[in-house]
Amino acid sequence: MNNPGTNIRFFRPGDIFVFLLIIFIPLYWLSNRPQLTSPAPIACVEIQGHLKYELPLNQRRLFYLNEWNPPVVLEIRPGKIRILHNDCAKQICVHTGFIDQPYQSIVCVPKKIVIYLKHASMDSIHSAPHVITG
Amino acid sequence: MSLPDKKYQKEAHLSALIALGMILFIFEAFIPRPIPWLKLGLANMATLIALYWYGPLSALLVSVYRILLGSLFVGTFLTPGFFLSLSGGIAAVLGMILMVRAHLFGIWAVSVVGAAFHSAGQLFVGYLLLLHNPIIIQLFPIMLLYGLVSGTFIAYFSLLILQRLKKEFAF
Repeated sequence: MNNPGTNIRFFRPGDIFVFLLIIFIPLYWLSNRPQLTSPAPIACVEIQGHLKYELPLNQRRLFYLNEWNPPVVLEIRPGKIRILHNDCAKQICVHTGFIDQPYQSIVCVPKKIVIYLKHASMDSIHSAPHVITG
Repeated sequence: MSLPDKKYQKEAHLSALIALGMILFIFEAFIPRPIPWLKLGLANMATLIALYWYGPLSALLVSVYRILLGSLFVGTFLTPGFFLSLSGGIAAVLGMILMVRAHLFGIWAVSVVGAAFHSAGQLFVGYLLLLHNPIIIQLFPIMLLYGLVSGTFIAYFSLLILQRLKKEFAF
């Protein structure tokens, strides 16, 4: 059969190179991420790609995102934040729970909400989404 | 198994692969995931098989059709999830074609790089369409590590199927 397909190479030495590269890059990346040193980080709340609120996480309180009706409710405790109530379909952002590290974020895809933490002295974004939610 | 007219064999085989990919795509949509955005990418098996059986263009066709049809069945057609799947699927095929064309790598590396390109494609489109926030790129290392596991898994099962197909159809 005249076949335009590709010859199957079960294993070639190049495979080892690729495997090592794909192990090395993420480990290097993750080991070099910044750590929070301040006891009072700031939670940045972005909506539709725009930074809307910077909330200091210094005391226990509720914060309402009144862009929606019913509003999305954020629960703030010292050093951490979570989405307490959101009427999005899958509720995964709610189930994400509290985030308290700079590499964690809460993301709600349907409402395009991103919440991440930064140190008060950070002037650029150094955190990563912990969960993308639907 | 052989079809009476060889002229239609390729169409029949690719249709079967699209159906396989679509079933795996739908099946996977119902599997609970420990982390929401992490999928095994079982449907990529059909693309990988098409790539080795009938070449790059067929792999691209299988990938696009199974995402289109699968999303229609799951009900995610034209939703953000659909565009993420489509961009990831196309990026994965392009990555795998590059790897195969380099003639330096086996199916294991091809599959793993496909998974890495899938993640990169999804993040890029996720950034453009959904989040507009560069922090999304920080997901990439985790997705790469996960892709290493899932890509190896996909390569293993694709290899088993390809060996059977090779015996059956002598390609």
